[in-house]
Amino acid sequence: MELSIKRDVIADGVGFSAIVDTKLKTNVLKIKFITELSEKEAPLNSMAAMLIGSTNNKIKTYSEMSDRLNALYGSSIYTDTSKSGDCQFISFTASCIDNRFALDSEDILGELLDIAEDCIFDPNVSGDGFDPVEFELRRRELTESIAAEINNKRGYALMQSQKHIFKGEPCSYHQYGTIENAEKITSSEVLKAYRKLLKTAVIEIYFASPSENLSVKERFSEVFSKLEREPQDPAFRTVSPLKDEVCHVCDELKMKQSKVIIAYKSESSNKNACMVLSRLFGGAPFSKLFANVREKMSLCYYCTSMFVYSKGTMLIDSGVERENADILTAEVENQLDMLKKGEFTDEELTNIKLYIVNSVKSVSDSPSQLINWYFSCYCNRDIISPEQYIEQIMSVTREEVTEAARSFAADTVYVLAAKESEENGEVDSDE
Amino acid sequence: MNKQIIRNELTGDEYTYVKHRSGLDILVWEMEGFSSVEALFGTKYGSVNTSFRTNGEKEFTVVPEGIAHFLEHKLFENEDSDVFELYAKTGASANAYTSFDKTCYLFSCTDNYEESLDILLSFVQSPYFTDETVAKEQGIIAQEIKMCNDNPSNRVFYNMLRCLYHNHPVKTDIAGTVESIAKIDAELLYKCYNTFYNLHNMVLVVAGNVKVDEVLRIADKRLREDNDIKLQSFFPDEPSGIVKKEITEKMSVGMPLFNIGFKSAPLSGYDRLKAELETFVALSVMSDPASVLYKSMMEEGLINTTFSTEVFAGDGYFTAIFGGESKNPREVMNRIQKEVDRIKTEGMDRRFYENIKKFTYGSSVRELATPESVSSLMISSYFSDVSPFDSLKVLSEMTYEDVMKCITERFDPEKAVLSIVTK
Repeated sequence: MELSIKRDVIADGVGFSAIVDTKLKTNVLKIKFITELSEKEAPLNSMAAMLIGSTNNKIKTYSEMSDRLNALYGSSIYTDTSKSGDCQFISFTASCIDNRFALDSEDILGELLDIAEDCIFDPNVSGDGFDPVEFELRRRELTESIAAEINNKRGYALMQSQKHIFKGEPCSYHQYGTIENAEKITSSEVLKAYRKLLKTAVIEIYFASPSENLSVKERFSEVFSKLEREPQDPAFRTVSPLKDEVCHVCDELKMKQSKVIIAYKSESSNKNACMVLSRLFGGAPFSKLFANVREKMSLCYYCTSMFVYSKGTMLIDSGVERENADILTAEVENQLDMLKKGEFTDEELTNIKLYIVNSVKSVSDSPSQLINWYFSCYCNRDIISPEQYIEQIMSVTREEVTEAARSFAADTVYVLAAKESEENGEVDSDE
Repeated sequence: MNKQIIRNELTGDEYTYVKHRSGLDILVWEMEGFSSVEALFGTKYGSVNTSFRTNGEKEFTVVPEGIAHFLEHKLFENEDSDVFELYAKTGASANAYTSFDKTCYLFSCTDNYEESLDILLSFVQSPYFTDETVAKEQGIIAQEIKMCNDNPSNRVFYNMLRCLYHNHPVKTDIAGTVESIAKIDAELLYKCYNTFYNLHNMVLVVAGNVKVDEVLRIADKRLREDNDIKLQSFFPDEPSGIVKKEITEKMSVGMPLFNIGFKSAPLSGYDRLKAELETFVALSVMSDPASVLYKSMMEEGLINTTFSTEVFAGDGYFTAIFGGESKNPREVMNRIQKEVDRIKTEGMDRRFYENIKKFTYGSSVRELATPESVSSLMISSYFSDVSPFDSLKVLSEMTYEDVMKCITERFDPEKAVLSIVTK
């Protein structure tokens, strides 16, 4: 059993990493387009992602695409967009079971790669835009996705809070935009945006498979070498400035449980110490927030912390009774103050490091996790193996963690408060 | 102890089954080349087991809704320590979950799996409940219930079950209600623990970077020996028909959600797995993006890509479900009913049916890919009285006629309900 990883630059601003691991049963191809998060272009890029992930110039409808993928033993092609700091990531993924499991000796991988290549380089274009029928279908998908965001109350609260936490920064932009804007987008604008992505985005390609397959790299080297490329390196890390005064925002929504999001900001560049701190604070079931806010005070079911290195921001996320929001906020502050004073044991510090190490060591068991690992390293401009990272985490000292804690200051407290409603929960039924 | 190797020739995978002297069944899947270990210690005790008796007792004991889930929370507190703090020393990531028909305690780790396994086996066998700690947990679980009640996907699903099932406890929320959990006390928790956490009602599943003999050594050390207490769960008679055709709940949602459920006869063991896979294929034939129905509803704006299907089956219940978001769920229901009728009359497109079977086979192979998916497959198969490899066997023997028969029998328009959540 062997695991090998090799990254080559195959065109200007295009990296190709081949990950070979004999224990894998599946092949995964992931293409990451990295670009600056722009208020105008982010929704266009999101639409482009939906379109290239559903059809291509040879497979003209989503139905036909699904039929082809079903025949390839449930192979999948999908795209998604995400934001990290002030960057937007557009991910294209193609995945299939390995050829050795084919019942009739089909070349599952070969056929899937052909389809994937067409999706990227020969999209479903008609005139100066994407195919109008597919375009309208995806546009409706986009507007309905935006409308449905409120269905997930925790995610919705996090999204709303970021408008205030990162006010005036690209990170505050919604990558799907608004329904009104989505309704105005034209097919030619989206095609133009996609062509711009192919020209200017930084592109990282990952191919994880159980055996070495040099032809995949050759295939992408050949097509990318024909493209005119002017890659624009985005800023992966832009620390969010701390507000002069803590910003308190309270919105209301008809629901049963209130959501509280607290943002702390820091200019510390000690990424590993901040990561250990965030886990110690609220990133494990034995962390300070879990042990105190949940277990001792019974205030909530969840209270977690997440460190966003790209923005130098730590987000605390919880759900409570409306009348307990202030009590929770005060206790979160109290717990952080204790960490600032170094009030944690050496054992707690060792345990949290072990917890991080455990999660990092398991990345090699899944092709998707391995790809995410190396992509995250790429974005941090620090390509290291999980083993090297483990060494760095284990060497973080108590003083570094205390210093990291002291570097954080409260920036925003966002509450999405539950509003009573006579209508909500009302049930009508027909016998 | 008798060790039995169960092997699948098609994929080359195998695992070891051991009937331990304690009464516990142990399943270990050694996965060469993997770094992680996934272990689950589970009991066949879920939210549906609210009425039970043991050793030939005359009367059944009835307990409050949500008690299995409550018990799961409380087991993490030992008399002298918090279980998460014990795990913290090993670096393992620990968790637990309660479903309708089982409760599982699990950990995932890359190092020190022996110590983590020791902790897992020890704490699940060491209950410690007091009225004071029970009261504390009621606050936490009340918040969990409220969080779930704000989730429209949860509401639309449970409302559908309430339309489908007259008496079966599957119609109640897994976590119970704020009112029902208020009735739980330490004595009731001990009663449920001593009934359902008998090793004859449990299983240990371990997959990944492990050795069978090492797992057995720790099991020998940690497992008590239990007598079989002849546990019986009671389920009230469930009529074959539905309760009501439709239900609508109002919530803060941006897009209305729907669940459409078709109730049909429950089964158990291999027969249930066979029916589940036939229903899965039938649902996919009707709802896959390549299907006629999906294509037309998508083009008309009736559904979006959240449209999906599920087979929901267990002891005493079997439902085929269509779900998603729609501005007109009643028309979606109408179109599904028409498509069911059409297929019953005209049959399925054979080429399309074969493609869906290939898709299903590919999904089954993917389930064997990682320690996490393998351990999850092993425990759900065990509690369903089938082997983890039986899905591949059922699929290899499935015929077009089997699926047509399934559509005729399991998609009865008289037993279909519509649940909607809208603003």
